[in-house]
Amino acid sequence: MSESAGNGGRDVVATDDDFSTEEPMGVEVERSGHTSVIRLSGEIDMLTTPALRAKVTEELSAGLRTLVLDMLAVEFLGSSGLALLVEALDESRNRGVALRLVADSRPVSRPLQATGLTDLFEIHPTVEEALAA
Amino acid sequence: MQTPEPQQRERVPEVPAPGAATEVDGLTAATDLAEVPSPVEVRVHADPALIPSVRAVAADLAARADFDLDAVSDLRMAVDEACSALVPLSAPGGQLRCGFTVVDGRIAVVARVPVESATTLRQDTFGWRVLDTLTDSAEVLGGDTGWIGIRLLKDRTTT
Repeated sequence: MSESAGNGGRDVVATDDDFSTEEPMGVEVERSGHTSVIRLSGEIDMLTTPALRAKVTEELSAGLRTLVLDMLAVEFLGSSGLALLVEALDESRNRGVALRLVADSRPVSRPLQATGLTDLFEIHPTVEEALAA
Repeated sequence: MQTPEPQQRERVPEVPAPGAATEVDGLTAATDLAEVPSPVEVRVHADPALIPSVRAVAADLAARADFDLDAVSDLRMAVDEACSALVPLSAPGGQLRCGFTVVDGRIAVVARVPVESATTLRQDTFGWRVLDTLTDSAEVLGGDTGWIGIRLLKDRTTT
């Protein structure tokens, strides 16, 4: 996935220093014009959600038109992560930003489905399709 | 004891069915939460950083008990949620104890932490709703003054 490399302003924020485990989650942001792609990897739980929330909030405040959350490499999504997705959806609507999720595997799709949240979100199988939507 | 009927998955809070879990793990209201006899028990410091290890054990046990993939995913998430709710309530230096009993295609989980004073666990949160939705039974074990716990029951197949 090399599209939207844009200004090359790549930003890797793993976890804060006070987390005792090593990088349970990765967050990479690629912003290009009015579009931002946040690529998540690893485990999104009580421990890692705060760092992710900070990134999502930052991007949503940046005057975007489209925010894509690439969750293809997410291995676990807990309720704090689900709550963050719902918050991000609310905030994106308030700001007139189109929020799109990229997910196609059980670690993400099952929690969304089991909690009845799937239909709230615009979900695409690939980043390319999310960007083209 | 009667065979419990499959519970309806509704969006409204359910009345927990303690009898269903008791059938699996034999735990009664009189059981001391500090020492619950379980075939498998994980004890870790009540530290959020150790919850991933506890939920991994839950998922492993479910996979070995031939749970379907959605049920494994649901149990992993439910155990994560239970532990995440309990750890902040723990007395300083306390231990998160999580017992697992697998019987007849069902897993009963008893997670608990020591508390300094009698504590309640809120059940009007998003997290509790998720927990309730993901399991066949979820109940707070609050009868013990020194401990607070959550007991979950999960069936091998998802409906």
